[in-house]
Amino acid sequence: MGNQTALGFLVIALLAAGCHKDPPLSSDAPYELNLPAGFSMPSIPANNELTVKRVELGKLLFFDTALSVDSTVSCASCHHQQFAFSDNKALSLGVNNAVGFRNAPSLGNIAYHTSFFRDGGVPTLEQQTLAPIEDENEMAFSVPGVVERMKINPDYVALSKIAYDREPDAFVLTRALAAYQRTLITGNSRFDKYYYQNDVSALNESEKRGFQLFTSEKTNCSVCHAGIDFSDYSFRNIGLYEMYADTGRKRITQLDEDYGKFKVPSLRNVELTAPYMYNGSVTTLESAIEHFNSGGKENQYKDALVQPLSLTTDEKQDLLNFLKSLTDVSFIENEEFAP
Amino acid sequence: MSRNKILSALLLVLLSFTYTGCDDPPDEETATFVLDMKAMVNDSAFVLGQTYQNAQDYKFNIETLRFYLSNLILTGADGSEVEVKDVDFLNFENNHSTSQSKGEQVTGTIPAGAYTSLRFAIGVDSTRNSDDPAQYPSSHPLSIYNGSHWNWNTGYIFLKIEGSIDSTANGSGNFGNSFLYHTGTNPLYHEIQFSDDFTVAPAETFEYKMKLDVNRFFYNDSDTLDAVNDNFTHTTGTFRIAERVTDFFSGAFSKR
Repeated sequence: MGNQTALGFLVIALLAAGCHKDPPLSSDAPYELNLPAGFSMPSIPANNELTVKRVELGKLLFFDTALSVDSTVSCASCHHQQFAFSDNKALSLGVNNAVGFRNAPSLGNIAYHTSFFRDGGVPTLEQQTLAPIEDENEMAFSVPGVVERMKINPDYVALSKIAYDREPDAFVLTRALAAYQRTLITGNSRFDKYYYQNDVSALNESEKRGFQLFTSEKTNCSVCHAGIDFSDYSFRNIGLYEMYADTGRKRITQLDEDYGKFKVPSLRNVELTAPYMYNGSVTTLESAIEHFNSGGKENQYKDALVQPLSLTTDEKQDLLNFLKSLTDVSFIENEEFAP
Repeated sequence: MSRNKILSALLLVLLSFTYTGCDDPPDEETATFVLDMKAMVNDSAFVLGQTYQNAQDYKFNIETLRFYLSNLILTGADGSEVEVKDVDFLNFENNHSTSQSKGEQVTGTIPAGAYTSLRFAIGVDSTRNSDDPAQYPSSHPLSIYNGSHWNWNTGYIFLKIEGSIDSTANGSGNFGNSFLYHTGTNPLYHEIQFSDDFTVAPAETFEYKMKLDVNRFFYNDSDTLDAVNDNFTHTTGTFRIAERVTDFFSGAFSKR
C-alpha cells in the first residue's frame, strides 16, 4: 500500500470516527413476533425493538410482586392469562385491598393500541407502565423504589445489561415491561380459522349469522369494533348512563364533547373478560348485548351509532355465539406468556 | 503542492478536530449567568413548615414548594436572544429548611455583553410536556425521580404547593385544613418577562437575584384565593383553581 493510499484511509477513518460512539454489540437476539394470518406488524418504538432478553426481562417484571410497595401485587395480579390478561373483578384490588379506579382491560393485542388507559391519557405503552406502579390504589410504590430492588437482584442486573446494555433504571423497567406486553398477540380463535385461515367449517351456522349481523348496518357493531382487533381504538359514549360519575376522556381533554367517552375495547376473547364496560358494571355478555339492543340511556354526548336495535331472541343468540367464537384458547394456554 | 502534502494538511486539520473533541471551543468572551431564586416572606427568607400569616390574616405553612422553570432566555442589547437554561426543576425543600442567604439557582453560560430583559416560563413547553420521564437519567430535571409527573394523563406537574392553613382569619394557628395545588397541562404553561438593563463582563459569574414572594401565592391585585375552601387541585377537574394559582404564582416574582 502506498503512502498516499494509507494516508487516505486514515483520513477516511478519522472522518468516520467523528463524534459518535457505535452502539456496543449485544449478545441478544431479535424476538420474532408470531403473527397470526391477517395481522400486520405492530408499530414498535425504535429504542425498544423486541429482543429475546428484553421480553424475558419484561416477563420477569410482569409477574414480580416486587413492583408493589409491600411486595403483594404484580401486574399479573390484575391481568390474568386465563382471562386473556384481564381481571374477573369489576374493579381490581391493589395493595391493602385498595379498590382500583376502572376495570382492568385485556392486554391481548395491546401492541396495536394507539393510546393507553380507558381514557387514552397516555400515548405509549412504555409510559403506561409508570402509572400502576405509582398509583396508590394499585401498587402504591415508586419507580425509583422498583429500580432499587432491581439493582440488588443479580438476575435483573444481568438481564438489563444484555437487553439494554445498562444497569437497571427507569428506562429498562418501562421498556422491558412494554416489550413483553407487545408479545401478547391473540388471533387464533375459531373465527380466525374461518375468516383468515379459510376454514369454512370452523364456525357453525349460528356463529356465521352472528358475524353477518355484527357487520350489518342493522347493528353497526363493526363500525367501532373494526379491523383485526375488533376495535378502532376511538373513544365513544355508548349511553351507559344519563349522568356519568366518571367523565372518561373528558377527564383528559377537558372537552365537553368527550364526556362519558371511553376507548372502544377489543372483542377478542370477550367471553373471558367479564365483567364488562370501563367500570365492570355489566356482568355478562348477554347483558352487554342487551345494552346495545336497548340503545342505551340518553345523554347529550351519546354516540349516534348507538340506537335501539329491536333484535329478536334468535339474533341475540347468534351475536352471542359469534362473540364466543372469538375466544383464542391457544392465547390463554400459551406457555411462552406464562411465568 | 503534491497530493501527499494536501492529504497531510487535511490530516492535520482533522487531527486538530479530534483533539478538541466535540466540546464547544473555549471562549474568553463568555460568562456564567446565575438566576438566584429566593423564596421570601416579606423581607425574610421563607422557611419550609414555619407558620406565617398571609395578607388575608390567615395563618398558614407550606411543606412542599417545587416547580419547573424553563426556557430561561436573555435578550441582548442588540436584540439577540440567549438561552441560559432549557429546563430546570426548583425544589425549595433543598435550600429552605433553614433560613439562609441563597435560594435555588439556575445556571448557564452566556456571551458577555449588555442585556435588556430576561424571561422564563413556569412549567415545561408542550414539546417536552409529552416526554417520557423514564427516558431521562435520574439527575435530569425531567426525570421521573423528581416525582413531578402525572402518569395517568401524561404530562409534568408544573408547580406543587402543599401546606396547611387556619380555618379562620386571625386564628390560633391550629391548622385543620390542608391545601394541595398541583398545576400543569399545556394551557397553564406561563411565560414571565422582566425588562432590566444589565451588563455581564467576560468570565464573570453574574448573579441575577430574584424574590419569590410566598404571600403572593394567595392573591393578586384583582383576585384572592380562599385556600380554606378552594384547597385542592390536580388541574384536571378543578382547572379554574389551577389557573388562578398559576396566575398568582406568576405574579410572585420580582427582582431583589
